[in-house]
Amino acid sequence: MTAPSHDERLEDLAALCAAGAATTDEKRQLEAILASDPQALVAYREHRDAGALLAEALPPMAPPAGALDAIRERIARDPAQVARPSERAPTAPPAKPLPDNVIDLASRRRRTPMIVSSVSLVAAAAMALLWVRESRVSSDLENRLAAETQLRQDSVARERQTLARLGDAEGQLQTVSQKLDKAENLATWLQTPQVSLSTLGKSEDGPRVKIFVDPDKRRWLVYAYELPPISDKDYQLWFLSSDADAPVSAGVLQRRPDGVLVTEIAIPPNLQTIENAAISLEKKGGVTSPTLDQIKVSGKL
Amino acid sequence: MILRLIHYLMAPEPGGAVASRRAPASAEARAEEDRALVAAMASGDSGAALTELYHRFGGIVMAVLHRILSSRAESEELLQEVFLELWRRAPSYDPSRASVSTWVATIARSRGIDALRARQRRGGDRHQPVDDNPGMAAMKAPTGERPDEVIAHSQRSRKVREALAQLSDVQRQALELSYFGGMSHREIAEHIDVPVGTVKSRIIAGMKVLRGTLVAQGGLL
Repeated sequence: MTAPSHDERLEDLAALCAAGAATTDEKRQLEAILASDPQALVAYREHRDAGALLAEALPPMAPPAGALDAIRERIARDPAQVARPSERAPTAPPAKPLPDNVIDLASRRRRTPMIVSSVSLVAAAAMALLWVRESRVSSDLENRLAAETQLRQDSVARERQTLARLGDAEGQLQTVSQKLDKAENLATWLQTPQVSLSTLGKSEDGPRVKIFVDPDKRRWLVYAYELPPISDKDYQLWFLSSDADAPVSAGVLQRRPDGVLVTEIAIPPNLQTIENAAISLEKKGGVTSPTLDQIKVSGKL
Repeated sequence: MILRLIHYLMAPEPGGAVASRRAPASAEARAEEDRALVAAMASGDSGAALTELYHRFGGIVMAVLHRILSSRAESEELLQEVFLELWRRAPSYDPSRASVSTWVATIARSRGIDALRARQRRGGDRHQPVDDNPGMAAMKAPTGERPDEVIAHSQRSRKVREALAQLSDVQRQALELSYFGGMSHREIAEHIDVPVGTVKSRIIAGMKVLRGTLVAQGGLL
């Protein structure tokens, strides 16, 4: 078996390396060939590109979101992140002095100051355009953000107002409901058979009192009319009973907005029967014994 | 540079990328654009040039890493490493040695194989099962996001499929074990229980077939 030729050897090594199957020694042999034979580079490159077909045959896979940003961040932190001049740019040979009979057109053509100014002008114009564009974009964004924020605030304020009105309405509804319940309860009570009505007062124009008496529940509901308000004074109701030695206070009456005096009281347990009642004008908050010359209305039940 | 800046300013969307809105370029024009991107990166452009390179090759890099490691999580981590290395090595990229796509695939493969070996040293499984159905990588790059990329990849894929169809099953197996498994021909011989010489022959023959197909088609470049 004859030894492989140089070309065959190159082909085999290039194929093994391109496939990633070469041993370390084989890789060294290939590098040695490439170093000594520049023509070998063509074959080497073709093998490498052929090997890469195995990678290109794979269906691409989506990189994860944010990967590019992460890569940029790492590059920004990389110590090698500096401006790099091209390594392949050939250096210009030193200029030789021209003979006297040769016109240096190149130097005449060098309108360096004009070129520099033109380039600077274009660069400045480009930067200005960039600045204007960015300012406009930034300003638009700010305006939109402000408008959006205002819209949201207005919307929130309107919602709050609506909620407040709903809250008020609900409160009013509750109050009316409570009043209705109270009125219904009163009507029901007044219709019960044991409740009786007593009226005190003689004149239709003078003070009068209506007393609804429920002996079963030992409860009085009292309405007093034509008793004008006196500052620093209260009208006080009295039980007059044979079970007590003196008049027993039934408390001061409360004035309604329509001027009617009202009170609802429980009959004390020690008073089995109450024969009479009276209302006197007393100092604010009431007293323990009635002022006899201040009794405004009285009568038998 | 200034003309590029003005082009950027006039662009309807910020970050107007190189070639992103142009009609799909021919293979040669595309290869030239790839080289220009790497040259721009070598000059320090970590903005538009890096972004465009990422869009062009990010999907392939992920696919290669996943093919080697069979782990999406590891592949995602390594993706950043690969692009960081591309960035660092951009100044030393030599177009006479390989096309940009080969250069990118080679670096991705190298990092993937390194990670695979590191995993094996930690006690993982050395011999990853060879899956000759790349579709199990499951998550394809989204189509429609970069129409020019979709078309360009489609054009390349057709040529790649034609080239790979020329391989025999055993040649393809040997190539995938070496390329994606990081095995030398000796390790492959042990793995599939055939002589070393047979494995070498299959690999060499397979590579020649691929190379010949490429040359006959005028290359992918």
